[in-house]
Amino acid sequence: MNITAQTVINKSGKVDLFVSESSGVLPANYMLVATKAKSKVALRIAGGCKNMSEQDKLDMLDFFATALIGYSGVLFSGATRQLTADGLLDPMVTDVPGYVAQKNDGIIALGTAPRTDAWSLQGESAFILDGYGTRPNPTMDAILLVQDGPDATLDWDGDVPVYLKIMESWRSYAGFEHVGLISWNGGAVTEAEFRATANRKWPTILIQGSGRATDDAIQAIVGELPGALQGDHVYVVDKSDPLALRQLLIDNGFILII
Amino acid sequence: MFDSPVVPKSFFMNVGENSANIALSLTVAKEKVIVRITGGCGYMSVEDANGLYDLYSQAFSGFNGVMLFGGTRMVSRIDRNTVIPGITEVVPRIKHENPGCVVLGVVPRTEDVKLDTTYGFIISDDNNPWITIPHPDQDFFVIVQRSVDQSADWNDEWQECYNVTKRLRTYCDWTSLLIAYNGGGVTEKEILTIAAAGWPVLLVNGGGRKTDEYAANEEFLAAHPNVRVCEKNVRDFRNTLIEMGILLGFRKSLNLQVVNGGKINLREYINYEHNSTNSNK
Repeated sequence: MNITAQTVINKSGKVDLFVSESSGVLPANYMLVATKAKSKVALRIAGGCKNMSEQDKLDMLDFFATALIGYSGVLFSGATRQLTADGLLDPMVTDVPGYVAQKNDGIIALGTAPRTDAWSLQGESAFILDGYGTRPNPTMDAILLVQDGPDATLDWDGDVPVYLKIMESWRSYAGFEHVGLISWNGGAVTEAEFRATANRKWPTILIQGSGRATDDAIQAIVGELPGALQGDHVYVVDKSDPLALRQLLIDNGFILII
Repeated sequence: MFDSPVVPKSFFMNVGENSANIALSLTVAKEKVIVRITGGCGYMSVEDANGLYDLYSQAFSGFNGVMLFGGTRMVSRIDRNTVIPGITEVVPRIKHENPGCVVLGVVPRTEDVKLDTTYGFIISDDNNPWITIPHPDQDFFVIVQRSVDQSADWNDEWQECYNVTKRLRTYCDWTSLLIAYNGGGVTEKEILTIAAAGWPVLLVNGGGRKTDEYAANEEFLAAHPNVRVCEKNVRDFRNTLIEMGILLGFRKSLNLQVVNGGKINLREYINYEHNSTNSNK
């Protein structure tokens, strides 16, 4: 098979798509897919790749792949994929779960995305999520698209309350022992995400040197500025040291070393 | 002060609703197997009831999956500590002997429920000599109703069990089994629905009524290879469960009834059986 940036390459050969209302009931079937993970732990990878070079983006994928060797829980992020004008992959944070899942047994890669625009079929029936060519990420096991009714649109943070509730339910009802978040780069939405997980006292890991909102939050912590994240569940790891992240994940029970 | 009645964790839902949290709660079971116990045995004697309890308890020894059942207990109106025998006592006994399994009761709200200082949560309090309460020995139960103003009917129980089972089978690769014993028209509908879906069904022959009718219906069995029949004895019941992949890690036993001079010390035997299986891997 000729694999392109549009090819479904997860182990089941299909990406299950679910649609949920932002204020509606929780998506039971989507949430159950997570229980197929070998380990009952879940990590949300939040952030973006703005101002990053092509090489930076590739290095980011390798950073996570090295840190997460042996991880076998749920890897959870935004659900989108971007292509270049030539139809090649433009790597983003949302490619991390699928990339790492291909290298480790037992991972379930899940994504969520808000409906920010009208969906359409384009070209060879490509499912496009907005006016910028954004697609569902074909490396995920399942994707949840969150909308506010059939006509309204949401901002890019429209899925955040839903995915936080989902993580809470995994923890409260499905026996997930640990849930947490790793933040890379990102803007205002990412900041809202890492503040939300830190407020819940979940392990919240900021990657130093990744850029923008994540680095701003680290500077605030270091400078002891008003509003800085606090608590012994908030961690900072440098992007040059994936093994430090790995050790942190081991120490917090996300990676089991037997 | 009175002794507080035990009421397990409870959910309430309308027919047609999907509950993520109920489904997720089942996934804490050690093994991805869900068994629905259906049927009836109204008005049976204490002796018959004990025989039925022993049959199920021994057949399911070592079970670590999920069980769905009616979720209720009938107690005497005169003395709340006197339990009226019934098939809904079967699953809590299995749970008691197999703490690794998870038990969900699905209770249709067929009339208004109420709280009572003696009985706690009362499901049904019509003019019978007994009162129906949530069974205290289950992990949690869900009350199903059509709406606040509209009660459920008895079909809603098995239909909700069907929905939960379908979700686990479809989205997280669980194995399922419907076990029918005795029962009337509602049980018949459940047997026919699950058989038509192609999911595994086990008819325990010898308890009477609809289950026995279908166990003897060769045309029905030939048309549904997913439906198996076992006899009402521990050996055949347990061996069939093992063959159907419900008791993971155990192997079929040919000598169950001769252990301990004909009287089974099942706990010892199961340990032997399990260890032998593991050593053969």
